[in-house]
Amino acid sequence: MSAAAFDLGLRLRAAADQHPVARRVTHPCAIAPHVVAVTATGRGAALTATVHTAASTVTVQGARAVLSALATAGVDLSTDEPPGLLVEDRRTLPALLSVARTISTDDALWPSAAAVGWWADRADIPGTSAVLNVPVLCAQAWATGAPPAAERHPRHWRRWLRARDTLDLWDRLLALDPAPLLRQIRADDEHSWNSWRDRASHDGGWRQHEHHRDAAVNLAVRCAAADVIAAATLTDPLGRVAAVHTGDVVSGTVLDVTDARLTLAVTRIDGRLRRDSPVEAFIGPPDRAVNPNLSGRVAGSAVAPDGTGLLTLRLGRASSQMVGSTVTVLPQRASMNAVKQARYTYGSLYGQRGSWLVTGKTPVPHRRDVPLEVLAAAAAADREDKK
Amino acid sequence: MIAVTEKTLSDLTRRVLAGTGIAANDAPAVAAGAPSQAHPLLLAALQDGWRMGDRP
Repeated sequence: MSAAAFDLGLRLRAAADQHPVARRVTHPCAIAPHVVAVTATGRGAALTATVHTAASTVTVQGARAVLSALATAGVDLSTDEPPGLLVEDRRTLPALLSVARTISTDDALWPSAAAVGWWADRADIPGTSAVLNVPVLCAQAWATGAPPAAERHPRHWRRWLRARDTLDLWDRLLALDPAPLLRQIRADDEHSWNSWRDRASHDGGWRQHEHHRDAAVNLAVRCAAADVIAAATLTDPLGRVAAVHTGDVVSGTVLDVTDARLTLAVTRIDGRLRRDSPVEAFIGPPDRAVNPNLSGRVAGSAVAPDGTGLLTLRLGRASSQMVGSTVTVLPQRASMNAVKQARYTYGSLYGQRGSWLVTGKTPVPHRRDVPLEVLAAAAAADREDKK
Repeated sequence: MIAVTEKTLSDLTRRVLAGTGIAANDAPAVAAGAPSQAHPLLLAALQDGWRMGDRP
């Protein structure tokens, strides 16, 4: 509830100042150097699309005309850099995919159709640079003085950010600081793009069902990418301030340091850091622009008789000089190679001759929480398939 | 006291509250300009959100 109140505070301030309030100072997603903005309505032969690049804007109707406009805008398999698709809604990509699926392998438009297929394949990777829903990304970067539902509309963001069009909004997002953790998601986009090009060029198979090994590896990649996005948000100074109100980040004053055990008097008792969970910390308030330089685990938590929350940490570099300082504690970040590790570790495991995926033997259960956004994306894709 | 009490914002407050799901028993105190009657955690969050506008 208090996270919602924090959100309300942002919106009220934005309304009072008639100016967006920043939610973060760093990019909310991986960045594609080459992007094309597309707005499409209708399906199949009735498809109408506006294709917008820095050089031109064209509005065309019909499946072939749309794919041809995309090819002219540089969307095909010939580029080494994967193109990014800027959209303003959730309808455009399914509409483009519906026409891409009708193109045969011997058609001159096949490379553009395959590139659209790649967008659809990557769209549900958290933080991907392949498909960029601009209003959603703007809502992650700024709060405006309006209810959340209003922020789904691109016109709302054009008005609040004084932008002319989608590309202009994208420029506003590019002006934020880089988020180093997200570079690995871009690297995975590039890896996926090159694999897709090989697959589409050699056997024309991008429309075939995904092999179960690839599906399993891609699920692991999606989960790793969601972890990276969560870590990138907590690396952002403003993201940390917001996370105080979800309980993901805890801040407090050091009361005591004994044998590398540090006891904090925390400002709130609704933190989510549990006993034995790995954490990182730094000296200063949550919005201090530093990277955590302390690491350890949560040793325990308690509430003093006067109602003060107490959090005890085992930190390797805790010293008595820290007594009286403000310390901010957050969950341990995802590794700089989390996505790559997921792809290669699981790819290797699933690719082994004795793998349960290959042999069909019952596997030993290994469970983890699937992030909500991965589940939501799968549900949306499932709904789309049933249409 | 934070500017959430300003009358000019009350309509927006009501609309935003409806969209953010703040519990009905806390919302009226804030929307009516009496945040001191709201839960302390809610008030702290509201003030912190408001102050984000001062940060870069």
